[in-house]
Amino acid sequence: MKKKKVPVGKHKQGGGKSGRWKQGGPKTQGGHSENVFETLWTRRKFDVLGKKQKGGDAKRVGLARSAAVEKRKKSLLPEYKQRGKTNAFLDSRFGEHDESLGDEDKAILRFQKERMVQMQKKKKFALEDDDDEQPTELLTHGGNALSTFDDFKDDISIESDGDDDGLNEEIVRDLHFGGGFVGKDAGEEDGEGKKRTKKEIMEEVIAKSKFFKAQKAKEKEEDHELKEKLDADFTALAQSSGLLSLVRPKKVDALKSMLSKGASGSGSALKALIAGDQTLEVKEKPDEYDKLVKEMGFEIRGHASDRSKTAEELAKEERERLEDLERKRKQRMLGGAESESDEAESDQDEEESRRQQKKKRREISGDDLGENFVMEDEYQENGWVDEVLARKGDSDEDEDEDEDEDEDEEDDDDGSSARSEEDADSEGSDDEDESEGSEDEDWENSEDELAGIEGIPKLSAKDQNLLDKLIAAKSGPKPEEQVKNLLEKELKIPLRAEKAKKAKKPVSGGNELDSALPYVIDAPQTLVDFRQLVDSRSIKDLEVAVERIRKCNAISLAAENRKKMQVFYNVLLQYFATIAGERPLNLQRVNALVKPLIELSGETHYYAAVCARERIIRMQKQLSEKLHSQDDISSWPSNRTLLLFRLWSMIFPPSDFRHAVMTPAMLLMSEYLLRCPVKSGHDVAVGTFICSLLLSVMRPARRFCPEALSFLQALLLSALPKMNRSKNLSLHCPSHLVEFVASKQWLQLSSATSTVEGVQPLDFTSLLTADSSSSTFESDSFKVGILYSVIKTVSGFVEVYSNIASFPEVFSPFASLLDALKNNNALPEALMVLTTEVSQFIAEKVKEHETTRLPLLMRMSKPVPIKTYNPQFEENYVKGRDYDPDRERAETKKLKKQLKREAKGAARELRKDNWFLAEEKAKENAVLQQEREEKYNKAMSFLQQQESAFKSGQLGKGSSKRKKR
Amino acid sequence: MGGKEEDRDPEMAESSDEEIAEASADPAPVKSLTAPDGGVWFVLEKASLEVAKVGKNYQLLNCDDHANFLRKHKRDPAQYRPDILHQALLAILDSPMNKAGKLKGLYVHTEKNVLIQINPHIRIPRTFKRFCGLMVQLLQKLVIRATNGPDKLMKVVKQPVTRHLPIGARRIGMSYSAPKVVQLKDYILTTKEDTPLVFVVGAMSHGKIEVDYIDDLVAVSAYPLSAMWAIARICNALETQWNIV
Ligand SMILES: C[S@@+](CC[C@H](N)C(=O)[O-])C[C@H]1O[C@@H](n2cnc3c(N)ncnc32)[C@H](O)[C@@H]1O
Repeated sequence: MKKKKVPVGKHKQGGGKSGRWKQGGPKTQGGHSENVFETLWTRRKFDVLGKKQKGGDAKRVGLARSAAVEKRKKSLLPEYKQRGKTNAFLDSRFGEHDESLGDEDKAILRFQKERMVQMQKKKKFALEDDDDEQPTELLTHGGNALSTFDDFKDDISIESDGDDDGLNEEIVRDLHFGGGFVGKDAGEEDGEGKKRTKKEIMEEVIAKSKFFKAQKAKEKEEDHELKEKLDADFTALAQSSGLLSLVRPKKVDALKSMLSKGASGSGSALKALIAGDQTLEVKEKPDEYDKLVKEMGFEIRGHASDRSKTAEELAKEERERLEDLERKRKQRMLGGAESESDEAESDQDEEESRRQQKKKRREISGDDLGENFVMEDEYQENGWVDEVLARKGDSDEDEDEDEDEDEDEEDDDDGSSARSEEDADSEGSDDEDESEGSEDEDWENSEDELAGIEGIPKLSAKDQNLLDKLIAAKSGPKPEEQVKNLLEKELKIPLRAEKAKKAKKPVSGGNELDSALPYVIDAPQTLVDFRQLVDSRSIKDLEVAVERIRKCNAISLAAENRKKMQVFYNVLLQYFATIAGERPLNLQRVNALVKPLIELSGETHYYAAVCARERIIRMQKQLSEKLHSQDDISSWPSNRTLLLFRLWSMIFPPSDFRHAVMTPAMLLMSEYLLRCPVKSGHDVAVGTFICSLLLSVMRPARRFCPEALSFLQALLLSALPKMNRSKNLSLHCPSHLVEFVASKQWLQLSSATSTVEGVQPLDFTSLLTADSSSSTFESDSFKVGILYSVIKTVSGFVEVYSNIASFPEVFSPFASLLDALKNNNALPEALMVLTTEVSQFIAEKVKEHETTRLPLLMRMSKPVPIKTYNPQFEENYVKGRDYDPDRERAETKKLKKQLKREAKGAARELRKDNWFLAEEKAKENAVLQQEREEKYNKAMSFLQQQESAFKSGQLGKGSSKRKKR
Repeated sequence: MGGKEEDRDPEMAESSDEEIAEASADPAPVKSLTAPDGGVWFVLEKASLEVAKVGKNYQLLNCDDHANFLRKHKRDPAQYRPDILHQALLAILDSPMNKAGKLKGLYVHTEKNVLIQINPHIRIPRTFKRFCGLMVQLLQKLVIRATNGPDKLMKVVKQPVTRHLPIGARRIGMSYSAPKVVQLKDYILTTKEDTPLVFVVGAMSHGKIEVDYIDDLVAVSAYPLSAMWAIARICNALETQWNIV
């Protein structure tokens, strides 16, 4: 094999930059002797761990090159040589292509073959005397050499007639041509077989078939016998009582009839039995037992049920529920809840845009994961609340939490529980709504309107109609059944009633009326009815009566009860209003109504809201009428109104951002404070009451209520003597309010010396019911009481608003007012203490706020950080892979690359081919040239010879002769 | 046919070799070699960045994930700490000093003698895993571009680092074992206001920086610090000097 030395410059790696020759020590690889000049070495800069090197560091360039040349010699060269020829000489002489043989050997081999052929030719019709020589011509049958067949001893079956098979080569050879010589071929013979004649074979076949026939007949006979025996056995068995006892009675007949057919039908007896069985099965009714069994198969074997919950789980659930409610309340406080239902669904686009805005606004924090890690749902649903409100709410919320609890405790227990109940029901409302689908459309519509708050003005007419309708509507007589149910229920839960009865007994004694209070009370549909029922009864009885009505007509009992209860609710509310307006106020009776009313509003909250709104609207109308009328009547709200406000503040959640009832109620209360001129001590008391009511309402959500604050300021001002007023008191209340309220010294204590020793807590009920002209309003004790409650209210407001930014501005007038109060009046001890406390607290807070205030600054532009760029990289990067996100483009790129590479490769190959061919041609030319040269030389030498001979030899003689001549 | 096979699949290291040569062949525009308003350069020496073929794909070797692999190849896992570099880069690039545009250049010189130029505008991946992915790609492609811009954020450049450093800069090496412990605030006051500063910090776990181009070797604390904290000290000192809040 020839190896070429590759010159460095020609090396295809080119450039010589990376391709370097390295004089490595001689290596032996695959038996080839290593030639360092044929090896290409690459120097590695880094040793990449874990990477396997293909074929070591060295590339054997020269080897590959010479291999390529060899390959061309085999493929391209012959083609080149054949190029001008139409046919080719195929040399298939022996040993011609075997390079390991010399010419001599080839000749010997050919000679051998020739001799062998000659030998075999002789043998064709000669007798075979040796086995190891292969026959030159083979006779075949079915593609197989005949010699491979053996002597058919096994192949001949009984059925086949053996005629064709008998005549094969051997037979032909042996019998036809063999001259009767048999048995010389040891492998083929077995003496006997050869001697069997056709006749013998036929005989054997016949005999065999006969034998089989006999066998078959015999078997058939045996089967028959067995069957008959079986039949006989069965009849015997059937006749015995053993089987009869096992068979069902109805089938016995069938069996018997079958048996009566006797032995003749015995063969089909079983079949008939089976068939009969089936028909019977179809016809006869399934008997009891079968039915039972089948039914049992279908019966459900016990139900999977929820595990009864442990006490902890129940507690946990309750806790979760409460937490959920609290969360919802907070949300509503911010106004988020409404917006979600109203707007979130309707305008998705807006939300989308907002989200985008938010994204844009979002600054990359120091530890942000960068673009790739932005979570999709980072956007928090915040509702549509204005940013300002949201921010305020946020800052408030935290402190709210614990204070709320306190607040609730301070409030009546009823209040908080009512609220939570209310909340709970507002959740469940959807189901209820669906269940009352039978009600008229009007009602639902109005409900919807109520749910969305926008309907304040337009709601009235519709709802008024509705109310009238509802009130007018008389519910039909109750079906008997229901009464029974109710009774049952009553019996089931007699506990409360019993208790109530026990409690009431000592009160009412053996009162006739008591015994007359029926157990099942239909919900009274008008106030008159109700009054008839309860007017003359004691408070306990009233409670019991309401309780019973509620139980008998519980909404959960019947669908129409809802309507009834709604009417009843209205009746109850009316009753509440009536007795609240009565002149000696029976507060206990009023109180007794509060609890059922709260609970009922929980059940029919939409209706409750409608009622409340109607009343508020009416109150507002009354107020404006009174204000416009020229009469000198007090425009301040009546007791009834005040008590209703109080009731609603307990029923409805005051913390909602917007509430169908509470928002207008608050507005109305504020309006009273702002617009009603104070004309008597009574009015002062009422105003104070409203202020404290407002405080309690505003407290949970920390709403700001300027009206109450202004009114309180004006009231405090009215406690100062007129001449002291103007000096260094910077008030923040509208001047008309000062006129309205502080036109008289309502609260200025009459004497400089303290005549009142202690501070008695005011009895508001008596005050409210007292006549406005009564003298109690002039007394110092009243004034001190009012002052006390005013200051208390102020301190409450101070507490609630202690975090608002404008605290100093809002409350510093109070501080100066209180100081002035202290200086100008001889206050009782307790009041004195309270006043100083509050003013000190205000002063402290003001200081705190003022110290934390920052001076107004020019808007500072934050320094802009340098722009950052995200590096573009792939996880699990693989060198050479295309990371184009457009797969198609990447794919085409890849294909193009491949195409280019292939084209380059092909071009290179062609170039190499050309080099090779050129070399060959050059060689050929060289040979030709040489030949020609040789010829030329020969000719020349011949000529020269001639010449020399001519000159010196014979010719020369001749010439000399000629010369001589 | 023969000979063809050899042209294909160039070995990675080999080709990278070429490309390094290529990348460095182009006249690297050493911009702002003179900084009129000072500015600071950082060189992180002896960073442990090594890519290996673990299983099927290439990974950045670190002592946690590849302890067994490294032991199998008779390496000390404790030396493979790319997390130090990650922290150091975050400390430099997230510093207010960089936000204010005072960082002019950042170079990483690896243990394997690769020099990487890092654009101060780069946002280094926050998580270590992603950082590893980035480094693997950098060491194979030798350049990392921005997703949102044409800039080259990371680039393998030609050695030595001194050809990329500003002329007339004060080159300060950091080492715990330096003979003098200085209060950096005061120390940098000794240089002129507008002298460019080059800080050379080691990003390795053990050993000290061994470079010949530093003017001074100082310790910024009497305690041995992590590279990140050494950098934090530098940044703090510079920020106070330049009034960056
Ligand atoms: C983990 S430390 C290497 C500790 C090594 N024993 C040494 O003396 O530098 C990594 C780098 O943090 C810096 N470094 C650590 N402590 C330092 C100190 N007290 N003063 C200055 N540089 C410090 C050095 O630049 C060091 O190369």
